[in-house]
Order: sequence, then structure tokens, then C-alpha cells
Amino acid sequence: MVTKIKAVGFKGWSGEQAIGEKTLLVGDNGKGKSDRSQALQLAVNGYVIGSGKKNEEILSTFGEGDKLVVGAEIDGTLFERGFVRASSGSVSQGYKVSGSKVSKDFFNKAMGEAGAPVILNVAEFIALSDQKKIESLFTLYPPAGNLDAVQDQIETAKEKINALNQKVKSTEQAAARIAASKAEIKIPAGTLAEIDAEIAQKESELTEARNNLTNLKIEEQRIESEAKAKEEAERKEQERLKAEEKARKAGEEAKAKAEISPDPIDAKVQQSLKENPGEMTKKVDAMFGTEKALGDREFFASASPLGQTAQALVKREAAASILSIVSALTEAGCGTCAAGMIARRELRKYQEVAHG
Amino acid sequence: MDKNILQDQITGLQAAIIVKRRERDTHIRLQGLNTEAEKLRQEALDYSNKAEAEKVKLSALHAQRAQLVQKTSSALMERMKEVLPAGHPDVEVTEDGVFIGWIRPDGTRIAYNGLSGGEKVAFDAALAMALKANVVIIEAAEMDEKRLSGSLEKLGAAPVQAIVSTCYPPKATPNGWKEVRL
Repeated sequence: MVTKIKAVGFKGWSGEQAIGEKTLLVGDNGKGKSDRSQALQLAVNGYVIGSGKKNEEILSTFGEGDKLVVGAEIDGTLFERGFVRASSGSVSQGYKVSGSKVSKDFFNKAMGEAGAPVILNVAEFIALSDQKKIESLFTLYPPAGNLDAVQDQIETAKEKINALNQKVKSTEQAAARIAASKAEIKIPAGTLAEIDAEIAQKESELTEARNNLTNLKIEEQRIESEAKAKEEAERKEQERLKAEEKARKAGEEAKAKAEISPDPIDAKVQQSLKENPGEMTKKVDAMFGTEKALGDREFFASASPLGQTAQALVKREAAASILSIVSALTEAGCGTCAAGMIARRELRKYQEVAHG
Repeated sequence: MDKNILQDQITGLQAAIIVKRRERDTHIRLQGLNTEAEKLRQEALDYSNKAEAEKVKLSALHAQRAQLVQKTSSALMERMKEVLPAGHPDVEVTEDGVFIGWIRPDGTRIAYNGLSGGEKVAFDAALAMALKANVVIIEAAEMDEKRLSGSLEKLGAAPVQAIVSTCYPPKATPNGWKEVRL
């Protein structure tokens, strides 16, 4: 407990003031009530609440001249602080305990051991940040449990909430972008199922149309093929008719030649006989036999005004002519036509005659 | 049927099928976007629900914290009551800060900075003692006699050394007080 306040040159007050546990200082303004309480604050705390804490400020605010001393007697021990301005102008602070100069550390330690008075500046506490206030209060009045652990959980929960809110925001933004993309798309009429049905129907129609087209082309090819075949047949028939006509004319010409000319051998046969007499002679000989054999036949001997050998030769030449016609017709593809048949019939007559 | 007509029909059908397939693609794309949007909406809802669940947890943690801190506030206020001449101290320690005020005898709640000069002197003394000061100094010039008497009475019973300065002492010095006339 502080039992005495001492001051030398503190705002004009020098002296000592004894105090008890509960002291009521009564006096008019200017009597030094505040001087005593401020001197006590300076002696205990080293500064006066609401004033500066530097030595120069303290001396200039509360001192008179170049020296100021304040002291507090705590349970019989006097603790003093002295502020002195040097010739250089600087102000230093000195410490005394029970009249002896001591260091600042010793002073503080000794005051602590003596049951240092705690004079608080409430205004300073009020001016602290909330966090500092809380720390200060928790130091004086600890919470009922492990507040740090709960605080950590609170921070973790806050971080989770922030992260989740951020995810909500980003997800909603992504959804908004999709909505914007959708807005740019022109939605086709009908549902997907309806469109699928339309596609299926049109594909079916397409398949049918393609099949129809294919069938049509096949039919066209068939008709064209038939037309070509018909045309070819007609062309062949024309050729056959031409060949027949040619053969007929050739027959008529040969007949006419045979009637007009005593010589029944036409130029072609003659030419053939000239160019290859052996071949034609062999063919005729095969049909009629040799000239010598012919000469022995009675038919020739009785029927012709010509000599037997001459008649045989005439008939053989006629047969050669007809054979030549047959060959020509056969080469012309008219082997089975009417002209060819007539020629072969005529030829057979000579064969029948020749062989009796 | 004419071959050209059939060919035209085929060409038309092919074009129509292309158009329809594009429409189909558009529908499928839309379906994909709708699916994605729905997925995102569901995700957002899930995140939102999780956030709400975390908020509930956070609220419970705040309550737990408040309960833990209540001891601090209560102890501080109990200590202040020992000196405060009237009304009740109002101290609330939250995660966001500290509220310090006074509930006046008429029930009004007022923050520290709203206190009158006399109220502040009395409140400071109570708060200083609650903050473990063992010497309380009161400059009682702004306190009326009633409040001064109340403070002296309370401080007289409190385990603290007190020095009160005043120009106008109460009519009767409270018990335990030493009056020093200057």
C-alpha cells in the first residue's frame, strides 16, 4: 500500500502527503489535489496518465526549472524518481530506493517486490484495439475452457464457408455461362423423338426411292438390251434376206448363164479351175466319180445327144457351179436359207444322177 | 416413275435428312447443356447446403465460444459491480470485439463513449479495479454528491487503495475514509 506521496518541484508543490487505504482529498481548486495524485502516478508508473512519457516532456510539463523529484512510500520503502536537465539541455531520469541511487532495473524490481501499486489508465485500456482488449481481459479473467481450440475451429469453419460460397459462386457463374450459350442456340421445332422419327421416315423414303431408281435403271437396261437384241436380229434378218436375194439372183444368173451359154461353167468356176483345178476336180470327182468312170455309165450313154463323156463333163461343171453357190451361201451365213436349200436340192439331183 | 423425278426426290430427301440431323445435333447439344446446367445447379445447391451446414456448425462454435468467454465477461462485471455506484456494468466479449458500457439504473444501455463526465469517472474507477488495479485514483470534480457518495461507499468496501479528490466533500465522510483537507 502506498503510505506517502512525495514531490520536489512538481507543478509548484514540494512536500509529502501521507495517505491511507481510502483517502479523500478535499480542497478548493488550485490547492494541489491533482498534484498529489499525479505525483503518485509519476512515481509509480514513470508517467502521468494523459501526458507524455518522455523525460523532456515530463520535466517541461510538471517540473519547475531543471529538476523534478517524485516519490512514493510503499510499505515503508521510499521509491523516488528524479528528472534533471543537463547543461546540454537533455533530461535524464535517476532512481533512488530508500535514499540510495539505484539502477532502473533495480528500482523496478524492488518496487515489484514491495508490492508495486498498479495505477491503471482506463482511457488507455479503452483506446486499445479490440484484440488487445480481449487479450488483456483473458489474461486477467481466463475463459472457461480452451478458447484457442474453439477459435481454431471457428476459423476453420469460416474458411470452409468461404470456400463453399466461392464454389457456389463459381458454379453459378458456370451455369450462367451455359444459360447464355443456350440462349444463343435456335431451338428446332419438335422434340428429339419427333425428329428421330422424321429422320427414320425420310431415310425409309430415301431407301425406297433409291430402290425404285435402281429398279428403273435395271428395267431401262433390260429394255435397251431387248431393243439391241431386236435390232441385231432385224439386222441379221436383213442380212439373211440380202444373202438370199443375192443367192437367188446368183442362182438366176447361173441358170440364165446356163441357158444362154452352152458353156455352163461360169467365170468363177473357170477361174477356180484355172487357179486350182485339182481342188475343184477332186470335189466333183468325189460326187460324180472320175471322167473314165462316168464314161461307163449307161445314163449318159442313152440320154444325151452329146457324147457320153461330154454330157458327164457338162453335168459335172453344173454341179461344180451349184457347189460353188452353196459354198458362197454358206460363207454368207445363209447355209440354211431357202436359196441354200434350193441350191443343195439341185446339187443332190446331180449326185443322184451321178450315182444312179 | 421418271428417273429424274426419282433423282430429285432422292436429292431432296438427302437434303432434308441433313437438315434434320443438324436439328437432331442441336437438340442433343441442348440436352447436353441442360444436363450440364442441371449438374451445375445441383453442385451449387450441394455447396450451398454444405455451406449452410458449416454455418450451423459455426453458429454452434460461436455459442460455445461465447459460453467460454462468458466467464471472462461475468468475472469482469462482477468485479466492477463492487465499485460501480449504481446500475450494472455491461461487458460483452465477442469474436468481433469488446463492448463496454453501462446499464443505468433506469435500464438504458449506454456504451462507454456515451457516458457523461460524472458517469465516466465512476465507471473508470470500477473498470480500473476490475482490471486489477490496486490503487484507484478518482478525480471527482465532475461527480455529483449522490454519485460521489455511492462511489465512496462502494470503494470503501472494495479491496483496493483509493484516492479521491473533490472540491465538495459529502456531508458525512463514509466509514473507512480518511479525509485530507488541503
